[in-house]
Amino acid sequence: MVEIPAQDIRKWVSDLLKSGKFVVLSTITGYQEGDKIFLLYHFATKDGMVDVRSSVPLAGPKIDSISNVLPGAILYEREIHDILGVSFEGIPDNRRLILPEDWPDGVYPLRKDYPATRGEK
Amino acid sequence: MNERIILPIGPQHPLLKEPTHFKLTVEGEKIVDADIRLGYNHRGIEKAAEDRTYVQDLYMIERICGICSHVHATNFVQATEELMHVEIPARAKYLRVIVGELERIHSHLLWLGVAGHEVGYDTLFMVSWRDREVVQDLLELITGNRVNYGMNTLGGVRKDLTKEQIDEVLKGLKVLEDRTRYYAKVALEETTFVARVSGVGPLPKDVAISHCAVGPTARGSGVDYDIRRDAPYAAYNEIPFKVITSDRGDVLGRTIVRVLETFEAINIIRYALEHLPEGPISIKVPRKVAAGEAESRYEAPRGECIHYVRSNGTDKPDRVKVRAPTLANLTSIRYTLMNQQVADIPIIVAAIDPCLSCTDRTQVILAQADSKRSENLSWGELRRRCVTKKPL
Repeated sequence: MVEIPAQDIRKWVSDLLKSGKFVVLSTITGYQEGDKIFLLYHFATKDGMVDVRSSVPLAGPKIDSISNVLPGAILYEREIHDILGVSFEGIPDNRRLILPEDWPDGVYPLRKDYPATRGEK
Repeated sequence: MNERIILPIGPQHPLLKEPTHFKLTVEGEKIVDADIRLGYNHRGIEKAAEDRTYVQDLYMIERICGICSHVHATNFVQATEELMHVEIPARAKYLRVIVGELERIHSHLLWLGVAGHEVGYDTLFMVSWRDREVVQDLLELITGNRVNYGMNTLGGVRKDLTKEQIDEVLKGLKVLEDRTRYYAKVALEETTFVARVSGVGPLPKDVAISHCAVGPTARGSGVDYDIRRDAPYAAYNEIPFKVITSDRGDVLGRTIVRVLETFEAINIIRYALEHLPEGPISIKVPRKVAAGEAESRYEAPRGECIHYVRSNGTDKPDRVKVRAPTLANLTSIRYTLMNQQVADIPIIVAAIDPCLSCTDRTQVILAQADSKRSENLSWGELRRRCVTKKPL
């Protein structure tokens, strides 16, 4: 598990890709803990599985997109943008991926303030 | 011809097995752009998992997918067992492998039938689905269910294999091996089939890697990557098997990988049955899980499936993340569709193993500014024009 600051993520990923060895991004996990959103990049490389963790503040979460250096990351970034509201700077395509078109703006279902069960009406 | 047409396929479509929306821009018969919209089947399982106990989650997560239910259940219990710091009995690991590989055979035979159907080779579809019943019967014999086997539990498996069942499985495997030998002949030698799929849906190796493709889609492009060998789980570190790859990088390559993988699956099951360790099949596990995090990777029939579980010391997980292989392969499908023919859409899309076909309705765009042919219809207007006043 490697912890790196959010502003360095794109550089770190480009350096990893420059090594020329086999690297595939398996997925990106996003989760909220307290007043932070953590992003966990799961890589699979020839030398084994590498996980990279970065965190952004819950108020105005922003991180550099890695889709320009690694095209396979785009669906995972769009998914996290949908469900956790993290904005990825420089992402080539920022449209909704999984939430419906009429989903209200600013409501992110995987944040902890969103209830897991619907209230009784 | 400078007219571009958007061809929408889905989300609801008579020939679509799952609700996905493909928006393809075509110039004549050539595809020049492709776009995907997901989420029509989003059930909020990751969120719901946070509100249920680990045991309840296991049953829910098994129902994420009907074809690879064992994949998701195994992945979730593996991650949870890692959080609990328990080591399951060796016999349970082998039984998980046996059910997992039987599932791979049924999934690959199902795919072969669908692929045959998409290229107009319906005999292959009928015959391979008939033979798929053999493996379905074996799964029912072992687990009691044809789908959603309910084999896994936290700390092991729920059903043991008897001597008679092992004999039945070996008998069934013999039938499957003979039949798969015939399919290998079809996939590798049948002239019409080979001519129809070779060169279709090209995916070069470097693109497969940069677009993070997984499973037979990646291995069909020469990417030598298989979780069973590269990060072994269950009993795979003790079982010898070959990782099948093909350098073709087209639909034929993906077909060859799947057919030959079926042989490997049969061999793995035979080996596991012969070397099945004696002993208990499960151990008792704590109800509460210590705080921590764990990830689990599994080579599903469609490719790498990854689960991430985060616990907070209670009997309910804090976060469960599931990434199924089809999401990983959908990124590369845009590339494989580019510059291909409209008639090849079904087989290219089916080659990553979701499946859909046929066209929906069209809307002309990007025509000349003064063209009288371009027209935007509202949904109501379209319906009005479709409905005839008089009964036919």
